[in-house]
Amino acid sequence: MKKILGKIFISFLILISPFYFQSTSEGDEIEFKAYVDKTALNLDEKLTFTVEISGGDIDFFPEIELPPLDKFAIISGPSKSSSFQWINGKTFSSKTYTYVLAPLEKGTHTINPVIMRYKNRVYRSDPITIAVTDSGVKRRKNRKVKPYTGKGREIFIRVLPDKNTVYKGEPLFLTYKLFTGVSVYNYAIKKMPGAVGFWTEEIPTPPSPVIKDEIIGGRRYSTAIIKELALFPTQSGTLYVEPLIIECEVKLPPRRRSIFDDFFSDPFFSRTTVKEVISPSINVEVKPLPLKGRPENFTGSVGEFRIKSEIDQKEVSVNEAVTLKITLQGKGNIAALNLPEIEFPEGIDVFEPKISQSIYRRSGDIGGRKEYEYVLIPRITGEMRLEPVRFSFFNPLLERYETVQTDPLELNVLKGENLPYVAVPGLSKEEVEMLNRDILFIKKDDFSLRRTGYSSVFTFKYLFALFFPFTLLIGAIFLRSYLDRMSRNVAYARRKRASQRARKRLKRASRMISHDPSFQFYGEISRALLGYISDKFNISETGAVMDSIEEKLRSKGVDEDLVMEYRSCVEQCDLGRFSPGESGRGNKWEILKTSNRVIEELEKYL
Amino acid sequence: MPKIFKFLFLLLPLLLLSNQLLYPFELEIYLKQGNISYEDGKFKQAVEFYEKIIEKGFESGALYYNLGNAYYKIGNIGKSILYYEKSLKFLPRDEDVKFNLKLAKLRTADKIQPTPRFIADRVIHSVTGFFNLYEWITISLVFYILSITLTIVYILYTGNKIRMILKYIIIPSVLIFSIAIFVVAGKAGIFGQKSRAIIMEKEIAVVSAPNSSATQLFLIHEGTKVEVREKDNNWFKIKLEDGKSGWIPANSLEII
Repeated sequence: MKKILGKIFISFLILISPFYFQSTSEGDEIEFKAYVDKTALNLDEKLTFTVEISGGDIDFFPEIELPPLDKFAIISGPSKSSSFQWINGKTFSSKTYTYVLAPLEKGTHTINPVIMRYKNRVYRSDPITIAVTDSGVKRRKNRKVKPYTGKGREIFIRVLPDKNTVYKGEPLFLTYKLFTGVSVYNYAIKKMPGAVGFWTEEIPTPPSPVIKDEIIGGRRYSTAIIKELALFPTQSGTLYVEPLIIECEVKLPPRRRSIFDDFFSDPFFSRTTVKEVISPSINVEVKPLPLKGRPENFTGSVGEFRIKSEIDQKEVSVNEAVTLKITLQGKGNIAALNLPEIEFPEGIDVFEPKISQSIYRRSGDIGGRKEYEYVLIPRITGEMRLEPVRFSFFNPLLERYETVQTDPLELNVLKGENLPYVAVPGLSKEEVEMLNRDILFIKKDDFSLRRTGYSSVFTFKYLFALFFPFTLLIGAIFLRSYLDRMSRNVAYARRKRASQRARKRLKRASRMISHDPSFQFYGEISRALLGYISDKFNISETGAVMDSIEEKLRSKGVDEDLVMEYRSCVEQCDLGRFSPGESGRGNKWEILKTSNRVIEELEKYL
Repeated sequence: MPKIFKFLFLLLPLLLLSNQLLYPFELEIYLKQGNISYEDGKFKQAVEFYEKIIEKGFESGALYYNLGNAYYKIGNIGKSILYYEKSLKFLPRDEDVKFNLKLAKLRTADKIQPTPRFIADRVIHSVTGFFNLYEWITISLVFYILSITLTIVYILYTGNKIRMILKYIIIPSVLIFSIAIFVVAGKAGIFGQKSRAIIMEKEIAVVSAPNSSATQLFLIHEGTKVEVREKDNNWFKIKLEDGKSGWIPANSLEII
């Protein structure tokens, strides 16, 4: 029973199946089909692929779903057309979507069914088989450049370097090209590509970019060159260029279709979004300049240059200014150009050159001119020859060093009297007048050379001058205190000076040893002996009586023998003083020596 | 004691004999040859002779002036300014040096307007700059000896009237001595080195930090006078007369 029922159900299904696909419950019939204009074509040809929906209510036609087209690229489309008719009280509407497809590969390809969902039903078109044959023309090469293609992306940037390896100093041109499959209303550069190790020159782009169509990976894109750069590597090795980042205002696809679509596709009403697009970064291989054949005066300039020089006057008076203009012109990094040191003949004053440069920047071509204006003022008369200026550079195209040079210039300097006015920028008139004067002559005397550094300052002489007065000052302070003490205490002063005075007297006596009347000699010794004691004990010299002296000496604990000796000395002196002619020379020596010794020994006790 | 004093007094004239006479005879020859070369217009040769004297470790204001002249004549403005400035340290009142320095400065690329200074600063600068270091040392010594001599007289002399007068001489002389010693100390760099230098490179970029990848601030050119503030490895932090500052490699300048 169950089996029979099942069979009946299946046969019923089979019976109704054609109706199931081709009719609607409401009775409005929908016809859904897809077709192409040709089924055989070659690679260069285009294919028109049309999807047509007819019948039903056009307002409710949904979006169609295209199958993935692996072997074809959509060049344009979908272009939509719809028609609406009223025939005998019945509405009849149709809508077509037209795509232009380009084959990507030769071979036999199948376009899979297009699917549409309408009122809970799924409609499928028939698959189409297309034969693609090889074309006579070769396909464009740049389709191969896969890394940069934004396959499956709506909008992307490609970086196109003009070469992969450059020499240090040789310009590398980078073109940043924007590819877009959607409408871009506006874009702004958010970040310029940073490039460490490069000198960057921007090549001006037109204010509104030229938009071109290009097919990449079988898809049609609008393209525009948004930035062009010339990069001069300043070091060798693998250098990295950071990505360029832009912000685009992009139109969003409408959410749903309606008869107002055309009206609302006006940009004013479109929904837009700001999208950030980042270009790929690139690595550049920078080769160092070859060492082989490098000229001596090479200053690192790379490119192709010419040089010329001219002077504004061939004949000038002494102290009159001449302008020498040296012009470098050509392709390469003008800003980095360096003129080698110029040798000027002696007797010419040369001023810092005024440097002006003009650079032209075109895509794939950058260069310009650099002018050096020297003001020369000859200081001596005669024929002068300005030697040729040599300028060496590396030519990256020929991969070798080249040297260019100016013609030699002759300058005849005549005698002149007047000092003309020379205009030099940035200087006052006084200063300019000063410029016409020569420096003052060298000094020929008073060199007074000294050792470099401070060693010549802190000499013994200096230290002596520093410390000698200081010791004098200290001496003066001691002297002062001494004098103070002396003035306060005469007894102290006398005691201190006693032996000094006695010695002085003995010395005087020794000079008188040969004098004939010998009382002077004895008198001096006597005064030395008695004065010494009276100074020591602070008694008056005249009041010094032998007895009291002896007593005082004993009280100081002086040895008895010494006291007796002292006494005998004094007595001998008295004797000698009053009885002249008795004592001989030897006797005088004897007494002088004894007195000296006695005072010396007494000094120990007193 | 008196014997020692006698000996010292005998030594004194010998000590006062200038050490200027104590340099090798060959230097005199180099000096003459340098001057002759200059007069003949052989300026490069003159430079070589003058430089030889400096190599031997001797210097003088006139020598630096002549060397500056020779460098000027061969077109090396940076060196010529350097040596004129050095010369000015010895000969601060020499009009010839001042004139030639002014002329050389006219030929430099940078025209820097110095920032105005305070009046007090200017006065101090013009007073201390009026004499060179050696003159200041002499001044300090003279006033030192004067102060001490007068003090000795003051100590030993007892007349009250004369002591009063002495007091009014001693105090200012001690004051001048102190100032002079202060200036000498400053010039000898005891209160921190505030050295000045001249740029030797034709053109050099001043950067924001002491390494070669730092941001470039501005360019300066040969012959410009700068003040050296700091040193970091092979970099100097410099300050221009108009107040701008930054770092440059140490080998691009020479200290005056």
